[in-house]
Amino acid sequence: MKEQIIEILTELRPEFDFTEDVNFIEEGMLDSFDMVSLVDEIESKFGIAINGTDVLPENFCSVDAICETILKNQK
Amino acid sequence: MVTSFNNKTISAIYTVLPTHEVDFMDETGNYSFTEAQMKKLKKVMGFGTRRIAMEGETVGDYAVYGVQKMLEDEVFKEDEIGAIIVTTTSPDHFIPPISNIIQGKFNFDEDVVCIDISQGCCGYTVGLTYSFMTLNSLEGKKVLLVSGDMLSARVSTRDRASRPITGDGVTLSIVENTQEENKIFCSLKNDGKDAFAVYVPAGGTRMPITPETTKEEQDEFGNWRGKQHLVMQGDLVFNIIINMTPVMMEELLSKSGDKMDDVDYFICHQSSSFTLKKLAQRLEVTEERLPRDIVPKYGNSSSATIPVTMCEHCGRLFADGKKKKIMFAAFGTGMSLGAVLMDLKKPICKLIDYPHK
Repeated sequence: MKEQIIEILTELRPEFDFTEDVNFIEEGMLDSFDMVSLVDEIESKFGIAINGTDVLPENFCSVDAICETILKNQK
Repeated sequence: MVTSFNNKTISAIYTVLPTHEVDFMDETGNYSFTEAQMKKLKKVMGFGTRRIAMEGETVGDYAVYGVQKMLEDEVFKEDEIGAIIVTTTSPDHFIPPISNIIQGKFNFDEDVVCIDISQGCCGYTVGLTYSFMTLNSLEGKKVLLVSGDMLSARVSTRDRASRPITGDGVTLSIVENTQEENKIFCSLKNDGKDAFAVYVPAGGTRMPITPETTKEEQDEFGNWRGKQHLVMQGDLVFNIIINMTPVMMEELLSKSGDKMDDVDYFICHQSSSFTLKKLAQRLEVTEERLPRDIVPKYGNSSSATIPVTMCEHCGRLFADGKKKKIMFAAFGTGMSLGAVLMDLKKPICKLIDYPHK
């Protein structure tokens, strides 16, 4: 799952290295528009619908956080 | 707080839109997006075409044109109107109110109540609630409710957060008492702590517009704005909408004794396609029951979007000729939220183009 997420992130913002252990939001690697694009990509790749209340920066600030968000919304 | 009203209805809705159309995909040079990002956002956010008023055109101009058309179509007679209520955040002038301008252009009675309400995205639900309240004191008269905005003049052309969704438009609704049994429930909520989540810094008394305030500056996301331009904290607004709107709807349903499944249509303020998709998912309703196709076609015209949606979909919504239970819901500037739950027969609906000079 992590590899797929990094692939999606890199497609969105190819200028950044998403394998780095940093906060993507605080570092300016993802803004709010990237986040909604990311939500759309994840929903179509993983066949899920992410709850609107989960569309928060803290749920998309790292690969681990994104994994957790996907798992939570798969249930 | 939930308020309830008896035996009132919306008998007609007219929408007046600019014919001038702009396309997000033609604005590549305005925003700090790559072409790939623009294509993606077109799909996800609904950034498409928008109707934009020409410089100098006002809400009052469009409203007067709409009234002319309604009179020509014999939707109402001037002496039937007891109140003119206008909801907008785009006043023609500081003084006089738009409602007085409209009253003065026609042969309305001199004792017509004229009220301008400063409300944006939530304007239609606020306007409906005030119309119902006013009708309680206006036996035999009708309310002309004008809801519209011309915010494109207030949004920087280089603001990628707000410009791609902002459209202009003005709507006119005739709200009246009816002999038919019809219980209506309304809820208006406000969270003034977040009042500056949608904000125009300059142009009022606090900060008059000067050459200094009109200098455009770049923010951390690459948007260029002057102080006379609208600033929106989109993420905060989104979270308030997603969290508060279902609560407000549930509150109305518990008062009316209805369930979500009893509501035929959810006609919501058309903020963005993404927000409405997430709201529909949260409410577990289909796009057919909660339309979200107005922003990509006409843009977000603030307090006008609910009646614009009604005019766009009127034929489909009332295809079987029966009354429908409709939940109107809106959210935005203030921060304000409003919802109205009512049964509605097919109103006279018309979408007309404004003849630019």
